[in-house]
Amino acid sequence: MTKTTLQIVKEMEQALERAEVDCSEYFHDDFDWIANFGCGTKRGLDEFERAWYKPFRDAFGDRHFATEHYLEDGNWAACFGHCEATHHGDFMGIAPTGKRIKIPYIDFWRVEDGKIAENRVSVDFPAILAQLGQDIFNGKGWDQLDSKPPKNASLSFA
Amino acid sequence: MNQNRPEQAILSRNTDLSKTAETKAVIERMVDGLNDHRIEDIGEFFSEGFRWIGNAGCGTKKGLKEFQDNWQKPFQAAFSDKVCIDEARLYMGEWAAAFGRQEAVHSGTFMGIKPTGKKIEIRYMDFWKVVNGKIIDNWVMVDFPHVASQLGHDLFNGEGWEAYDRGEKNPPLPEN
Repeated sequence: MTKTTLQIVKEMEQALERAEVDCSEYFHDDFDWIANFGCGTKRGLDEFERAWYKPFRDAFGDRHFATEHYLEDGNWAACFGHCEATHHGDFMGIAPTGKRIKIPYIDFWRVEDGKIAENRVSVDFPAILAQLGQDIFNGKGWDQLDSKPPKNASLSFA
Repeated sequence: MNQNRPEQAILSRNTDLSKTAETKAVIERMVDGLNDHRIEDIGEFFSEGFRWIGNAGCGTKKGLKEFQDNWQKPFQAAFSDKVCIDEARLYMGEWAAAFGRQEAVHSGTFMGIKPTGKKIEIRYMDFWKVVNGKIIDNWVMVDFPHVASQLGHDLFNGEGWEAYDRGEKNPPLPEN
């Protein structure tokens, strides 16, 4: 039976959670991984593994992916959620703290011939840095305009 | 005979697929509304108590008024002539998702950066949930660090992982 777009994406995420090293079953060799500023653009599976997957695993261990919602429309799928992980390696110049943190993400995938051909990504590096005590917006973030959240609120990604 | 009957549609079975057309209509009109720079009457598309849940630097707006006052107004104060262009849009039941860019002119102070008059691109990703014809949840990532970089400020201070892409730095090898 042919797998749906979402099945392919979901199997890929499970493989990443297991830290499977060879991802060629899920991604085309020449797929594009295109992310927000600070994360970069990886052209092809080798570049994805070298310049995203490996440094991400080096900085963050014991990763658990909590995806809040998936959506599928034709050969596109998308999701948002966060990864819970332990800061166990250097991250952007910050030495490991051992802190348990939340890494919010949004992903869009385009699937062709049973594998991912394009992955559009937002990973909230500023939220990670904020949890590690660094405000890259230097007090000028627009979250400063927000009203204080009620206690025990879990509205935000982070 | 093959009797393999695994559980199906685990991820989407709680989605009411009959709602897809209504969701699509609301999102399409809402994006037109944003492109007409509507603020005061944008409640046509967003419920009074909707949640706008953004990334770091953008914040969380609880309800229509906070969205208007703490997102729309500062946004339009910093950026003019903005045009919102979705590059991909997905619909499934009550949910929609899109990514794309706003093209705009930096005509007001943005995070302390004085107006430069530069034409810039503001990249975003959105998830919306539509109930009874209005958006009740909006999960958002707007790439403010990318905006700052186009205005000459690197908020990551040279630590961005683009350095790996360009071969200027070598990524470390993972221990696990």
